[in-house]
Amino acid sequence: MSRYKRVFDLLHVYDKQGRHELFERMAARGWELSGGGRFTWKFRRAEPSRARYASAYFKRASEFAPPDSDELAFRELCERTGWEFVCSRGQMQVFVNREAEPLPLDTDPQLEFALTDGLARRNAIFSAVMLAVSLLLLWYTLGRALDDRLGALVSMDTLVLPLLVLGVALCCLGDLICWALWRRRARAAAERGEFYAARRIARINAAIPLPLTALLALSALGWLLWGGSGTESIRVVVSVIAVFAAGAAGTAVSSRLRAAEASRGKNIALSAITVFAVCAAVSLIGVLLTWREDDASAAPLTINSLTGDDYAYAVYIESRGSPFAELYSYEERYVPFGDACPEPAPGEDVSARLRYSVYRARIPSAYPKLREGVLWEHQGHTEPCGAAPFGAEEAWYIEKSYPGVEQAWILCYGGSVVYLEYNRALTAENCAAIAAAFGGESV
Amino acid sequence: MARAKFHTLTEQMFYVLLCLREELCGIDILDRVPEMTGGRVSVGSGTLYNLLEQFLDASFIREPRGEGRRRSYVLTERGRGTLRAEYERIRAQAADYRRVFGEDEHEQI
Repeated sequence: MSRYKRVFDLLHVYDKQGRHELFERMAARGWELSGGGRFTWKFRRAEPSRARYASAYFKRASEFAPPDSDELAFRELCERTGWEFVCSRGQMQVFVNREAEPLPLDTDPQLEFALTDGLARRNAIFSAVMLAVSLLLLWYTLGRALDDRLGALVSMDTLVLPLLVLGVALCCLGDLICWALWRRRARAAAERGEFYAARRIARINAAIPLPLTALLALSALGWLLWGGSGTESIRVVVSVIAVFAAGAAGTAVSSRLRAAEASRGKNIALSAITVFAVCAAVSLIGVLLTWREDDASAAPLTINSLTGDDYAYAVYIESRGSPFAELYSYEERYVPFGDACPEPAPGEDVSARLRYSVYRARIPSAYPKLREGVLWEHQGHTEPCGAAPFGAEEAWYIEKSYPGVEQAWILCYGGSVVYLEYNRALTAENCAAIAAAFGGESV
Repeated sequence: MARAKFHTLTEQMFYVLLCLREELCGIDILDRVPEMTGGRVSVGSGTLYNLLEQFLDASFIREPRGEGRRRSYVLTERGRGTLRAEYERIRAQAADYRRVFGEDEHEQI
């Protein structure tokens, strides 16, 4: 049986009573508080006891420095009334008292309210800033999704990011509302000379991030199931992991250095170096995960399958998707640098360039949206052309819609829409190859 | 909030300042307040420490000397003035009470 146990602490800074109840409940079950992390409390096995816990905020305490003489004097003063210091987390100092009816650590409700409110207000300012940033991001991500509806339909990022940002904004708003409610009631209670136990508000406040966590988990699952090989998605996940890993490593280093009584400057410097190093390491892993030689062997259509040569061109493949539709993008061309394309022999023609995007509907109702979306992107440049050679249901020819693109086609195959650019004249064999690649039958 | 609060002192603020008419350290104040009030008022150590910090910031008290962790405090002229003002306020309240209810009713209570 493990001798130590860690318990997550989602309680708000003003929910002192909730925190004390947690410690007392754990002590009654035989788990004695032994330390505090940034988001957790550490308990060790002990005889079940009916100890009383209390916490106080010591303004000058720092998580990067060992306790100074003032902090030690404060603890000594508390010990004088039976409150033994247990552990600290930032400014919060936790004490235990084993007497049946001890004199409380805080006996002045107005002073206690003022001190707690000072800390809670700092959190509220952070929530307000986060709310403003989230609303800006929401405006940006929604605007992007509305501007590029086709992209939004085939991307988990564009679908999920506004939801996540909205979730963060709602969490921050909930945090601010709970703080304002607590503040109003706690101040009124303090003016009456009473301590305010904000259990219901605090419980709601603690529960607010849970739906966001569930949304994050669902989004991660969605990315895994439908996201394709989207490097953007992997980058988002790697960034989130980097933030958490760096935060955890920084906290661990800082608490160890604090325990070893290292100076504040040394602690901050080493913690910052750790945070940067972990961020860099996780980012490097992310780069290695997303960086790969694209393998053209699984591509439905290549320049080789159209021209019959076996000349190696550089290939770029990207696939992404959502529960509604998926996108497979392929680009192949000569790149005059790097290892992807060998140096052409004198007189060898390496000017072929093939690019296509296959939008495939995952649910039938997505197909008309995909068709409309692709046609809308090229509106004004399309003219209907014969679909039969491509084995498609409908086909459009596009001439010079973008600089550098001489000709392109939009081909509709019932369940999928293909946008194809090829800078050479298409032969009947080419059309048959295209039909075979995208599920049609050339006529 | 603390500065505004000093316009009227809470009971604990009043007694902590009152104790500091003579030089005392924090631990002595913890004993002195219940002693002075017959056990009616006690000051928790968390409250006391924060009060002392606030009084120092407001220059109501000063530290005549710091001996390591045993810091001692004593009332300043400003603190004495605040205490006096609070006393006058309480006295005025008591006088008003007497004027409204009269001395007899006061004695019955």
